[in-house]
Amino acid sequence: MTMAIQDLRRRFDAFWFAGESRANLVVTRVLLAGTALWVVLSRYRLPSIVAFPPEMWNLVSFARRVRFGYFLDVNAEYVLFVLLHLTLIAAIFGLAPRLSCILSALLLVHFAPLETILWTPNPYLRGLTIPALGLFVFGVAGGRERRRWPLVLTQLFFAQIYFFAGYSKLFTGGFGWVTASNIRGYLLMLNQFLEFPRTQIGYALAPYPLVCAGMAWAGIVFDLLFPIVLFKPSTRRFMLPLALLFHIANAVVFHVVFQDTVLLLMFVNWEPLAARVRGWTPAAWRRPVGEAS
Amino acid sequence: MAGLAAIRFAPTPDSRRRFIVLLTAYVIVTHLIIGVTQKDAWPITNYCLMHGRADLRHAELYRYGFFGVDKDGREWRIDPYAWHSMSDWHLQLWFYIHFAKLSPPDQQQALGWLYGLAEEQRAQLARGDPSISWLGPVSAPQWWMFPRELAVPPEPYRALRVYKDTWFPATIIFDRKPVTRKPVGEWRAR
Repeated sequence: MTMAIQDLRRRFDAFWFAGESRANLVVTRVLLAGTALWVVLSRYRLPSIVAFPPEMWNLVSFARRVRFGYFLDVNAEYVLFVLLHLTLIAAIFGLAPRLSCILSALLLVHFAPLETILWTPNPYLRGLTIPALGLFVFGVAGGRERRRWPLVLTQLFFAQIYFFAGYSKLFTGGFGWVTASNIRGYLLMLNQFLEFPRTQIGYALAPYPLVCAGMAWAGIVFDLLFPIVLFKPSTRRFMLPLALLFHIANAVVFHVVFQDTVLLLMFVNWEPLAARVRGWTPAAWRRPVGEAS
Repeated sequence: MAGLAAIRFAPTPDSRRRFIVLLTAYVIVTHLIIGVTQKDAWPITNYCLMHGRADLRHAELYRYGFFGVDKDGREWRIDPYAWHSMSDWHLQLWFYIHFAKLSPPDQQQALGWLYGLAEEQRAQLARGDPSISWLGPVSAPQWWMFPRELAVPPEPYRALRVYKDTWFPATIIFDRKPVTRKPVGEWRAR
């Protein structure tokens, strides 16, 4: 029994607290902050939503305003928005990493819901959720952390997107979700709702039950199996390209864009590339052995 | 934040490690509870997407259409990126749930505001600039990829009209019956 507990503890420590390459930690922080910066630069008028007339904010409860801190006027919101850009840039370049990551995360939690706030405070698949959570974790870890827990925890957040997307389909739709008629319905309804022309590939695929059933099964199996990349790194060789294909297919067929696709790169081991870059760097530029970073 | 402070100011490496384990366990357990029960507490969320069943036989779809009206009375569909970073789909949901409950003056207030945003974007599109942000063509698109509506009149809109289109997907596909279009509101420029 004691041996089993010790073995479990050893595995737990190896999974969460083994040493991690500095390159992998830095690349993940850059990916998180870079993705968030891309999205907020693309939504550069988010703060102006607080200036929408009160009639349009009627559905936003007082509790919700308190939770996300919507009390300032639009000018103050723009100042905070500029601050968010600065903290994200600082996080990308590793300047005061603890402070810049935590401030970025808090400001992202403040601004991200604005895109959907008139109806719901949940902007969950619009590109800022994983950066907000991940940057908070990296802020907690600080710039000197050399163990893998911040990276693994962020990867876990990301893997949950797929797993719970699959789970929610079965939870809500039951096994009837995994049928040709359901996917056919989605293909036709989404193309009609978004008002795409009849030439779209979704319309072309809808009449084929085998294709629709294949899409249903492939999608749900992929969603539920994705977390395997956390525990079996060798599976990343095919799961990551599959994930990329999955998102391209979703964009083309269902017209859904996943802004966090680039975060798949945090599952790549960047250490070999970093070692090669270090080899190319002139010796005088390298940090002396033992010097704190 | 308490977890952060505990980790930051932990007196020994062992206690720091213990606080990290506690924070990690809290985050994982919370995510599991939210995920399994399918409740929502963003930023910890359930990630449900296209999770209901799309039943073609019984489903009725609707879409709110926003149109600018030019001086000749011609209607131009407003681009889904006109709403200052507000998601077009969520604006439609707001109309679906809330608009009819507002008093007529409040409805005019909301429509007037949207007219201002639509007119602001019309002027930009009329100048030949279809960018949705300073990033130009590499801007992040909205989650639902509504097709862009880039055709605009050269002169300001005289009014904003909102319609609700309702249809049964199956009848559109098989019987080619048209959608039912109902006016929801109009705001005229003064």
